[in-house]
Amino acid sequence: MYGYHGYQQQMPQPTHSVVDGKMHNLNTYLNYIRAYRDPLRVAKDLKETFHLFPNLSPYYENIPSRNINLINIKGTIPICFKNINYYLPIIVWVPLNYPLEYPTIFLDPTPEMRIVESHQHANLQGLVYHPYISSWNSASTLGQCLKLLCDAFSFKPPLETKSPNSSPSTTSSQYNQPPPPYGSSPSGSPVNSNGNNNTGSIPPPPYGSSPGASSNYVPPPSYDSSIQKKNAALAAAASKGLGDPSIAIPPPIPQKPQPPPTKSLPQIPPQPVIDKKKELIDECTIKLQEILSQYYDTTVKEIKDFQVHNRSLEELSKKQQLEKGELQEQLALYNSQIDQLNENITQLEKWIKENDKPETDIDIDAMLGPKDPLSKQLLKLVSDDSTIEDLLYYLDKALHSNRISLDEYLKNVRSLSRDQFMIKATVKKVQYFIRQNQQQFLQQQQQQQQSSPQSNNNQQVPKSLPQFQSPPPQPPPSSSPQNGHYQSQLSQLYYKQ
Amino acid sequence: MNLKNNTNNTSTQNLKEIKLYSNNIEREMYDNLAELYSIIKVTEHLEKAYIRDDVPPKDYTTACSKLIAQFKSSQTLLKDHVPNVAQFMRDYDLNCKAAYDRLVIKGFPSTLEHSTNESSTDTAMAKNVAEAVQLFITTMDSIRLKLVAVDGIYPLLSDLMESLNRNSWLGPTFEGKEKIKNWISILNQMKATDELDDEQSRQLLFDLDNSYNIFYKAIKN
Repeated sequence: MYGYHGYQQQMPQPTHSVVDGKMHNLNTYLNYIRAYRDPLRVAKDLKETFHLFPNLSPYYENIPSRNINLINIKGTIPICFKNINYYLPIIVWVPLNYPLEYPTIFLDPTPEMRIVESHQHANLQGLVYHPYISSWNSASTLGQCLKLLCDAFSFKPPLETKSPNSSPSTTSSQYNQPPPPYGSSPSGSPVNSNGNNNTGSIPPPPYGSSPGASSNYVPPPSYDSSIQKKNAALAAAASKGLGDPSIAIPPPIPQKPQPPPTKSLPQIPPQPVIDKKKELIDECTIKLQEILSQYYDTTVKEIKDFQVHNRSLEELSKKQQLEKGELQEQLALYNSQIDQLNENITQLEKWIKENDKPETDIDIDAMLGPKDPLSKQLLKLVSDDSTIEDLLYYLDKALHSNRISLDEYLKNVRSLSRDQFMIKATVKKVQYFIRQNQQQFLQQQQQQQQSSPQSNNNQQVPKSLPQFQSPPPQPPPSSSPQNGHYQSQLSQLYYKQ
Repeated sequence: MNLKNNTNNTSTQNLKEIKLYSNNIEREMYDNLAELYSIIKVTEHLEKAYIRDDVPPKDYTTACSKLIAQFKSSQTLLKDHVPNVAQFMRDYDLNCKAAYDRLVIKGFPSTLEHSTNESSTDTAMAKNVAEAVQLFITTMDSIRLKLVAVDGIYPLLSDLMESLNRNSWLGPTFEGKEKIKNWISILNQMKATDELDDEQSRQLLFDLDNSYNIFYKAIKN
């Protein structure tokens, strides 16, 4: 069997430009997807893979169930079985966690193919098993894996044709026609490897390269066009009658890729559009959230302001209530005072009516008089004083008109003056006591207003009794000139009750 | 409100009339004060009567001198209660300017101030002149002898004054009299026990000397 080295010899190295093109695509996919844990590692491994297996190309597809995009590798890997080169179509799914997670490899048989039953390395769904995969670790690489798979499948290919002629066991019935060159001219169908496979002189099917000479690889422009070209090549090959039509089934290029419609480079824009839409949606969401939070802030502030305002208004209303109460109290007080004054007025009017007689009938002395004995005494004293003054005046007159002698005059004046002095002294004393009484009364009034204790009142009363406390006191001071002096006495007269 | 409160007033006031004094001591005090009062009052009336010419000068002089003497005695009696007569008069509404002037300030009746026009014979005149001269000399001598107590000088001066007044020929305006009058006033306002100090006695002596000289000159004329 041909090992890995054989393949290397059979197939020339793909040119760097081809690989670069694939890598460019791959990097584009990685930038779009952005979910790969280790994109650099993915790129490195896949670059190696592209170098080893020129028939593999990178694509990406959306996985609806997981709502992610995954990069996959589609294409064929070469095997050599019984000196015939075959190419197995596979799909390799590169997981997001590559290289921590193993790549999932599927066989992708064409409708004419089917998977061999009970194959050691593949199940009926096409899932590929290999110890390398089972023991995948971060040091494993896809290229190595594929190489091992090539070896394994070369030993025992997993796919067989479904043609009625061939039996499932005959491995020779498998497709052995090497794939025609993709995109190459129909005339250039050099890939008849029926007898030329061992020596390695069979030129590998260069992708889209001109027959024979150049080994340029051109990435397939599209799956459909390549399939068309392949079919054309097939027809051309068939026309040459080179192979069994039943056998001359070119290695089918899977026309129905497992996931929904295949995507090649020109079809990439829809994904970015969706992404852009998503981005825009995200932006909108963020903006809306910002606006919402702002609105929330302002509303909270407004609420607080309103609360403060509310509190102040409540306080104001309380104050106003208090003031209202006070004013009402005052109003009541004034009303009561008004009532009292009205009462007094009616009393006075009544009294006036009762006593309203013509002038001659009115006895002034009966109506008017001092209200207490002190005032009465004062009144009498003052009148006596004035009388004596008048007497003296008339004595002067009498002396002048010689009605009395000087001696008599002098004697009388002397005695009258003495009496007058006594009267005056008494007047002063009485005045003093009246003043005292008035002051006591005022003090009592003030104490009543201040609601003083009763003991004070009791102490006050004895003081009101007149006593000259010590012998020869200074006589109390008098006040005004004579006339004014008596006027103040008279002003203390009140109405009789 | 006033009507209502009046009823309260009567209940708190005392209802008795007031007596001026309640014991003998007070009574005596008030009696003495009454005397002082009456003296001042009578003096006032007397002065007014004299001005109105209701009183002959002689009677006036006698009465006035009597009153003045009484006034002085009562002053000593009432030293404690009446330190200031003017204040006393204000206290009891005693409006007696003339009396105050006469009693407190001058201390002699006005007849002594202004000589009355008494006709006198020559012999009386001679007698008066001699008397005046004698009094002058006596007064001056006693001052020189340092008998300068008020109660010693005052009578001499008042006698001198009197005799000068009797010398009616001098005329009413005799400058010598002025000075002596002033001195009498001063002495009148001093207490009896006061003494003239050196300056005053010298001044008095000087004044007396001057008056005597003037008098002498007047005699010569």
